[in-house]
Amino acid sequence: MEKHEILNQLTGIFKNIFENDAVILQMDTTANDVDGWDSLTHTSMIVEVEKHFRVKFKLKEVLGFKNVGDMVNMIHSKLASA
Amino acid sequence: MVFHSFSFLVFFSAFALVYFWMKGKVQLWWLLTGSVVFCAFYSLKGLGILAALIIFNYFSGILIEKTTRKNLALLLSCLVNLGALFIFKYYNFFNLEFSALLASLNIQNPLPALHLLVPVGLSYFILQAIGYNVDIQREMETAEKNFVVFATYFLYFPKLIQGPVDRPRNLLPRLNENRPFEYTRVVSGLRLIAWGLIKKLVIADRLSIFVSQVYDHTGHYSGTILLLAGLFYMVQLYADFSGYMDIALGVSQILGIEMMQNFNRPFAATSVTDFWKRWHISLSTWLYEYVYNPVSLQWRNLGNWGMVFAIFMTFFLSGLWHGVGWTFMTWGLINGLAMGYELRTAKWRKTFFKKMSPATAKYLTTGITFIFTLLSFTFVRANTVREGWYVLTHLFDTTKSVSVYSLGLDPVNFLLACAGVLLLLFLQFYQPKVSFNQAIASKPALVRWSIYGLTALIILNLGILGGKGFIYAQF
Repeated sequence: MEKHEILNQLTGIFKNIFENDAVILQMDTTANDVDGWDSLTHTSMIVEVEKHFRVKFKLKEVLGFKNVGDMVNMIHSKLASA
Repeated sequence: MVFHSFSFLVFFSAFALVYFWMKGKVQLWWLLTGSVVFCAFYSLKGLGILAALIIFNYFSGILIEKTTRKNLALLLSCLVNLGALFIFKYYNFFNLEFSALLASLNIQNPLPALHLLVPVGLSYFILQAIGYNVDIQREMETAEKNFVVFATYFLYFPKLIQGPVDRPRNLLPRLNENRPFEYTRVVSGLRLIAWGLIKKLVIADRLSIFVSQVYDHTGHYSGTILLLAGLFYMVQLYADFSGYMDIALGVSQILGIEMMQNFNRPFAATSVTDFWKRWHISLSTWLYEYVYNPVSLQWRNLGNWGMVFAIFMTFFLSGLWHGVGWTFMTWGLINGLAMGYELRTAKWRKTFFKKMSPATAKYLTTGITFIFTLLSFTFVRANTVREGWYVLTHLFDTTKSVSVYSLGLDPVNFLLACAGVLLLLFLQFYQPKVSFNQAIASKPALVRWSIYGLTALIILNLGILGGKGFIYAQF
């Protein structure tokens, strides 16, 4: 799967999790840019992303995500090596 | 040497004069020297223990960075740091509880009581040390190789006793910069100090007289007085801690080192979760980064329950960190329960409040959070859990009648205390477009200096002077 497709699918997940249809994700989007993306919803979002793409992140990988781009790259590399 | 004392005024004036005369590395050395002297004022032994921990963490950071067995190195480093915290802060409490348990079984406790002085700022120091080592293990940061910069970060006197728990990644780079004298920055720092002094000396210390009187004899008073003391305590704690923090931020601003804000109008919070994003922010974000986030992610397969567990654990540790005793643990657990409830019912509550107008929902949620905070702080102030429970169960007691003016504050001082409470509560909800500091800076010189004069008069005439400590130092 291409990175832009991953980003599109992530946008759908974010809209659903944060109940906000106005969410537009870019590679440099961070938690500060999305309403409702906070400490409590972060874990739920990770669970949904793992379920959707059928991947499993290591704890260290999740803690290293600085923006949406880091997540997209990680999903991309996991899907490529699956 | 508390910030609002004459000795600190002399120390800081002399320190700052030399500081701005110096440049580059010499200025950094002077900053470390000043911090060592400040720490030594409290206790030479405490300084020695902090110095040993600084040396240990300096090498542990480098080891974690270089070794391939990062997890093991981090574990050892955390064990040493938490071990030091346990021995100095918690050992005697748990030893006493253990003795009581063994005594009920007619067994004598073989463990001795330790008579150790807790090094000043140890709790804050340990949080920063653990955060530093974890960041290196996560490969988010590199180990600081310059020992003078490293030691200054840990001993930096404006944050040593009360925080903020500023992350090394925020503060370390600033210590390496040159910091010349800048008039506007220094004056802005002085204005912040003045506002902090008003909050601490005029409001918090005045409220504390009433609160202490009531909480030392809770059984003597009616529900109305207990409730008023609860409200006064909540505002006292805020004024005391945020006031002292303003002084610390102001002092640091004068020196050219911006530290993170620790408060953001906490009583305007619309939920307990929101409250903890606004109160003691540096601690809340630390707990989120190093406790809640890894635990909730590790247990994410359990769904919401994994997060509830993580919240519970975070607040239990928060309560334990705040103080040695069951009252703090109870307070931590109550907050953990409330946040767990908010997490489990998030969708239901959202639907429920959507049925109202946004303004009504905001007033209602703010009101509920305010009352919850007020009641939960009872356990922070009460001497025992039983006493806290007594207060909560006697809020509607009307069998006793005592005049509010007989509780340490005469009518004038009682009115001043009430005015202070109203002012601080008003400022929680009133959001000016520019800060008061900026607003004053933009006024003509005559107006500015009149405000400064009036402020000095208020502090000197209405402040409770006498070098009383501040509440958060005990944590």
